[in-house]
This record gives sequence, C-alpha cells and structure tokens, in this order.
Amino acid sequence: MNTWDNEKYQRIEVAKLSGNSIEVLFENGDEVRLSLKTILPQNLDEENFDLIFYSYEIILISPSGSNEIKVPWSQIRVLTDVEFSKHMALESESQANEVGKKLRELREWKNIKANELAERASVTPQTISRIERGHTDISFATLKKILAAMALTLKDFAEYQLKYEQSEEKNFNYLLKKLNRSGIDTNFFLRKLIPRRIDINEYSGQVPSLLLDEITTYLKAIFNWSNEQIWGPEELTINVNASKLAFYKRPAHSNFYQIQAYSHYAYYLSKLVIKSTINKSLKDYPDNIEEFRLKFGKGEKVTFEKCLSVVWDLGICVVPLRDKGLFHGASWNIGGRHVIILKQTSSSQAKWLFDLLHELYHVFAHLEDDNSAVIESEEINPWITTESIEEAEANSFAHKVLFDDKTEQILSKCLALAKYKVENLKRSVEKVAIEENIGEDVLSNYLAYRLSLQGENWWGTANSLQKTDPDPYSIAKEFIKNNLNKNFINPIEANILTMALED
Amino acid sequence: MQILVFNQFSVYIYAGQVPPPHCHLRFYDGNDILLSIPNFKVLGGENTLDEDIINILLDNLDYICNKWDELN
Repeated sequence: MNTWDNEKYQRIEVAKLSGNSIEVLFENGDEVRLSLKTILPQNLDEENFDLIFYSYEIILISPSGSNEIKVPWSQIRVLTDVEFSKHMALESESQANEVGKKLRELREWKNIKANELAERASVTPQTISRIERGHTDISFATLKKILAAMALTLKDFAEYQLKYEQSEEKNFNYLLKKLNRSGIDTNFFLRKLIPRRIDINEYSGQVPSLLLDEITTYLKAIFNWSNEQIWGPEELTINVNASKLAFYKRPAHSNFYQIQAYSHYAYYLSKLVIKSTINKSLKDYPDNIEEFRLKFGKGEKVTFEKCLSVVWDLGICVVPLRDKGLFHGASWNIGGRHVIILKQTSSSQAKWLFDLLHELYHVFAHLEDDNSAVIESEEINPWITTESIEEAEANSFAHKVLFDDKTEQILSKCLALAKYKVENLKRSVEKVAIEENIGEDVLSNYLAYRLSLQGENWWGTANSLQKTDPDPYSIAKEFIKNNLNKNFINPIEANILTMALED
Repeated sequence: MQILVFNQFSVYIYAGQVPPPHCHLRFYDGNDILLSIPNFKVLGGENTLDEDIINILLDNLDYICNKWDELN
C-alpha cells in the first residue's frame, strides 16, 4: 500500500492562510506550506483571499466573492510531496503510453493505416503519430474524434483498456507451453490454428490482449475449451471423443498426445466439412468391388483425380492435409455421412491414390455405425499383410481396384516382357502400363514391392516413374474447394478450414 | 468541482490539474479515491472499485471527459 492510499494522507485537518502562503496540516501529521502563486491563476491578485477547508479540498474565495478556487488534496500533495509528484508523473507517462499502444492496436486490428485514420478523423497524421507514441497533451475531444473514425466510442476504448488490465496475466509464451504439454506442437499451432494475418513475431512474446482474445476464440472453437481452461492453471486436456471412436492402430513409439490432439483437430475439420457440404446429395455405395470399379468405366485407368471425382460423387468428403507429424489419415462416419482425411507429405499421385482407396475401404467396410472412425496413426503401408486384418483387407481392396483384379496377370506380363531381367523392367513397365491402361507409377510401385520380397531393391527406378505433376495435394484441394459452401459455417470456422487447406 | 452525484458517491474534477487526466470519487462514508480517466485506474485511495461503480462511470464517461477537457 502506498502512502497516498491512506485516507489520513489525503484528509486535511487544518488549513490557513499565512501571508502569501497556505499552511496545511494533514491528518497523518504532515505539515506543508505552499505559495499562493502556485495555485492561483496568473490574472488573480494574491492578496485578500479568504480560505475555507473541507476534508479533501480547500477553497480560496476572492474578496468580491466572484472567484472561488478549489484545490483538492491531490494538488496540494503534488506541489509539496516529491514522491507523490513523481508517482503522478509516472502514471501520466504510463497512461499516455497505454493509450497510444491501445489506439494503435485497435487501428491495426481494424486494418486502418495511420494516414487513412487521420483523414477520416480530420486530424493531422502527426496527431495520430503523437498519440500512438505516447504524448500526453492530447485532449479527449481529439481522442473521441479518432475513435469515432474507427466506429468506436470512448466507452469502448475504456472497456478495452480495462479488459486488457484484467488480462495482463495472459501470456502468449505461457499458452504455447501449455499447448505443447497437451500435444499441440508450436509450429502447427502458429501455422494452422491462428489466422495468417496475425504475425506473432511482431510482438516478441508480448501479444496484445485483443489478439490473445482472438486466438482464444479459435482454440475454444476447435477444442471446445473454456477461457478458464485455456488461461487457468489446470493442464489442457484433449477431448477424447475423436480418438475414442477410432478403430485405432496404436503407434508403438510415437507421442500419443500429439496424435490425440491432431486427431481431434482432424475430427473438428471433418465436422466443418460435413456442415459446409450439407446440401450435397448422397448416393448408395456400391455393393461390391466390381460395381465400384465400373464407376471408372470398363477398362478405364484409375487415376487420383478420377478416384476423387467418384468418391465425392458418392457424397463422401475428402480432406487433404499436408502437416508434418504422426497422424497419417482417418475416416469418420459423422451423423451418417463419411469423411476421409488424407495426410501425405509425398507428391506422388500413386501414393495419394493408394491411401484414398485404402481409406475408402474402411468407409465401405468398417464405418457403417454412426460416429465410428478409423485413424491411421502410422503411415499407410500398402504392402502390410500381418499387422491387422482390417489393414490387409483395405490394402487388398486398393490393389484390386488399381489392377482391375488382374494383379498377378499384369505382374507376369511385365516380367515376361522384360525377359526376367531387372535392367529391362523399366521399359516393360512403361509398355504394360499403356497396354493395360494402368498408371506406370502405380505399376512400378507394386513391382518394386514384389521385387523387394526377393531381396531386389528396385525402389529407385519406381520412384523415378512417379507422377507428381500436378501435385496431388493441389488436385484434392481443388475438389474440396469446389464442393464446400462456406455460407453454412461461421467466419471463424471458415478461417479454420481455409488455414487447414493452405500449404 | 462536483460534476456528478450518485447514491453512494459524487465525482469531482478540478481545474488546473497536472496529468494524467483524473477525477475524484468522494464517497458519502468519507473516502476519496483518485482515479485516472478514461481507464479508471486507482491513483490514490483505500477503496476498491466494484463493477457497479465502474459501470456507472463508464456510462458517464463522455461527460467526465468533456469536463476534464473544459477545466484543464
């Protein structure tokens, strides 16, 4: 508690005139003397004033009674107590800085340039600059005009300042650490969970309260946390609904919390996608693989683009993501509608195609129940046969679709054409791919896998045959963008979805 | 001078004051609080402001600011 917070420091016990001075005794025992000159306006004579006093002020009355000068305890203290005077000077500087800082924050938040604001408020750009730099000689009338030019009132401004003071304990670095502990990686958070226009680096850890509030809004939307949970002392926990529903392949060495957090994020995105494609018509799923294959046209090549078209046409949403990390894809049944999340860092169309078909099998075979899910916590391995029956079945389905159920026949043709010599295989793959109307990238991947079973490493050649242009991620993004209707979601949700789909 | 009167307190602003802009809240039980304007930070005084008082002040902020401009 400061001296000036004590009422005895403020309360006047006795005050009297003594020549050209006033003597004041405060209730705390302080006796002070101040010259009338320091109090009276310049145009008034110092003589013959009468003085009366109350607990918190003295009143000087001119002989004619026409002038009354009221002097509060604070003014007497500023003139006689160096410490209190310093306190007021510091508060003045700090308040001017705060006003300048807040005004700038609000201007930037409203995305208005300083010159533009000056023009709107009919003040000079120097006035804006002076206020923002913390000058003290600005009238409220000017401040009011400037705020009005941003459609704000003094009350809005004061409330904003009050809110900021109450939230001074909010600290961005504290939030980052808390999020990290809950499984949300900083890089991911900065890239995907806060709007791009917020450049955190600009604030070197001291992120303004209005931006912190905005960031809080995004976290609340995605993770369903309250303000208290986000900023309070308790650790953040990820709602396990998304992962609890999952038909999980639990990773052996990975960070479970990260997968859980990312799964929740992907689940939230899936719900947004469902919401924003609510008007999309649904079709009956094919009863068997032959019926599904026919959707590509008899003998037609199965490309990633064509497959996306078929899948979207069935009413199944496909969301492409390209974040780093341990989550590799998922499928959800949300209220009877299906969403497939593809997450790949590769640019190979064949790999994206395989993953899509693999997930599609889960949709057809394992996600009949409302609110069921499959989350791929490890990279989808097209060649896996032993880890789980469901995974092996999904791989087998993908291969059958890709090779039109003639996998062995096509493989034999390739090998025979190459005269069973590795050095001839590349040419034979190119030829057979054309003859059978199969992607040479798809065929070479399968061949490399089969050769690997014999101890032959042919992956280098297979990689050189991968089709990467156009980038599969961009292809999938185009599909989702063409299918989304952002009128069905709010601006925060739309921003989250936009950020998710930005590379 | 007294510029506003409410049930529990009155608001005073004086002429010729040093910055920061400020006002006095004088409670009828005898306390005086020195407050900055417009953010109502306590610059001196024992009392703690409750939300109701802040809201009253916010509702009258325009008038309080005008008075400060007029007297200072």
